[in-house]
Amino acid sequence: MYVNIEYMEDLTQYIREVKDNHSASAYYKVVQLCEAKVFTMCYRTIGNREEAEEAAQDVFLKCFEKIHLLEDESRFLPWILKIAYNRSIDYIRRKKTIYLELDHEKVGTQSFIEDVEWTKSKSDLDPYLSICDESERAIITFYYQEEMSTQEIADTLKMTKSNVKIKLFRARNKIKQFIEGKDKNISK
Amino acid sequence: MTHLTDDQIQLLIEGNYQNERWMVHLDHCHQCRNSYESLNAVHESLSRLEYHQPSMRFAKNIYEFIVRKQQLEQQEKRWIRVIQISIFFSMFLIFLIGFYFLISSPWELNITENSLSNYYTWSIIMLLSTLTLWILYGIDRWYFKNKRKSEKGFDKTS
Repeated sequence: MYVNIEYMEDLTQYIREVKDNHSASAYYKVVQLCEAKVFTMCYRTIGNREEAEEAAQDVFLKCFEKIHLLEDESRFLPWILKIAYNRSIDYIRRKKTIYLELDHEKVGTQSFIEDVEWTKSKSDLDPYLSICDESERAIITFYYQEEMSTQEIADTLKMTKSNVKIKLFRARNKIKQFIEGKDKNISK
Repeated sequence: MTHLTDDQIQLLIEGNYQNERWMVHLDHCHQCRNSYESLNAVHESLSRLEYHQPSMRFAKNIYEFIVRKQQLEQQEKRWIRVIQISIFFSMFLIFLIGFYFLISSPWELNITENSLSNYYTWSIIMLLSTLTLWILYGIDRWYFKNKRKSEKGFDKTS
């Protein structure tokens, strides 16, 4: 995972301060350094800005309480991004159940088409990302923005490396087909 | 050579895998070349994805919430400490007074009704004080718990 060295040094120093003194002002600096990454992970997974902000706030508060469990400060970013992803998935599952109960009066698994339609209707995301499911969007974020290797992503999301590769390839293909479909409609 | 599979094209796009035969095939196969270029365009645009920024007060909100929570916890600790000391002191006084009357050998010296009633009065006062303090402690714990619960949710308007 590539990040700026200065950024990592600052982050590690603040995290050490938080762990030693439970300092709120040091954690404020940590939040400022990581808010874009965590918010982007939540936003890409959930698809709605306000809900993503709420989830991201919960993630930071939870991490503040559990930061003493982090042994290696340099692993803070993958750790918090994993929590952000899991929290966002929980959020989506809770919201989906409520949505199904209120609108469809049934509880159960959705078909893929219903998943896409539900996500697209609730999503503020660019259309080509909303075509992918939550795990694919998370993998895209980890791979392209956090520049994590497939092995690092697999360790973070507790998947196998081949599973991560398959999902990444599948996501690219979906986006490609969506764009080609759009272009065909435009040319018509 | 048959056409390249999607997986093979994806591996070429990532640049982690070089295969001369595949590259040569790409140069000669129009269909595979098109697939490669369209997937490469997707790969390029995903590489340019930007971070989204939360609202301006995002970090400040979290900081204020943590500070408020820490202040409440410290306040609770101080209050509990005061009550614990008061309870301990009053219990100590009860036992001290009782012990004083005991070692004064009630079966030898004059235990007047007056002195006995004084002892009972003092004991009742001390016991009532202790009880009052325990009730206050209970109310305070309940109050701080409720205050913490209401602080748990974020004030989205702030």
